[in-house]
Amino acid sequence: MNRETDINTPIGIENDKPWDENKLAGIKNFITGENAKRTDVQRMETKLLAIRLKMQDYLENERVMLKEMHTIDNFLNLHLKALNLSYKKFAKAIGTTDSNLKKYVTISGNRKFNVKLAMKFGHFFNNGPHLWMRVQVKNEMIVYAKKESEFKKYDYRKLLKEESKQKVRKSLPAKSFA
Amino acid sequence: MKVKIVKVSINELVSATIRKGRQNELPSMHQGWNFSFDKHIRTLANATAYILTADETPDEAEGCMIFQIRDKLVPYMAFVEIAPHNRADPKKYDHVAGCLIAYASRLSLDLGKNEYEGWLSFQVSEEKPEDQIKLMAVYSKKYGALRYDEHTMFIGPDQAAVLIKQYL
Repeated sequence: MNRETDINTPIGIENDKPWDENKLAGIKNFITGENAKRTDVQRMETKLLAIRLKMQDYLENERVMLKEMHTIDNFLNLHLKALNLSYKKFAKAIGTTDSNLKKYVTISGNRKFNVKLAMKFGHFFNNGPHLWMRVQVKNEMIVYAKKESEFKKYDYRKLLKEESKQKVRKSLPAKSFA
Repeated sequence: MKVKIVKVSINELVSATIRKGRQNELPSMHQGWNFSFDKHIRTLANATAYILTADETPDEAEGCMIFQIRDKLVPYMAFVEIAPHNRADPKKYDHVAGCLIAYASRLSLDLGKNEYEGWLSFQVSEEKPEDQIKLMAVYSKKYGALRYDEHTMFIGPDQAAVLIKQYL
């Protein structure tokens, strides 16, 4: 795991002075200079990592409502923007067309994003199929959350209670029902 | 967020959580910490405090960190400290600071905009200049931090990715 033992000395400065314009300009120059030393691949990988973390945060957030839902299409567009890739090129690269792909990834599309597509997305963007499939399942659950009351009738306790009542009825002498 | 820290007495990884800390549960100097996080969080702009707790003792902070977007631009780790019992010999838990620094790096990737994306700044201060230089060298070695000036250091986006992989 290559982790390091903690340093006991804390980080931070009490009563730190505000950073003046000179310091902020210096910091900006420093970061610009350091960024310039990085390769295009490194910069791209940072952008992809930031998107992956966004997806993970989305999955961990248990309070997402329907209107805040991020579709597969939303996350796909973030990836394409980071890689400076068109929808059409991406669709072709995974063996389909952009119009067909939209049927699977947009809310208005009439087909469901599936494991095969998750495998393609996960391998193409190098972030694994599970991440994409979990977004799909989360979004389906968000949609179904509105209809949750319809499913409350499905409860094993109700079934057991009913069976227990029937057993009691059967065990009673027949004349009791006369 | 769920993380793993080392319980030193058994030398095994145990589950822990990093979460936003409410003001009334933030550590202070009265409890033996070097910084009063409860006081600082009231005065810093655009700042959020996070505490790390072991799942076996969820009400006790093992470490605390204040993250800030400084001057509306620069991701900044204003304070990080581990609990006094994690500084003692033997300490109770290890890798607490590592997890909090990795978490701050993660926040800098999420909240840093444009060229600041993934660049986490922080400041260290020792009384003697030679100790200051030594301490900065330790942060460079352990966490890949770059020195900017006599107090300020940066952890860049490539090193953030490494820390996230190692600690989160």
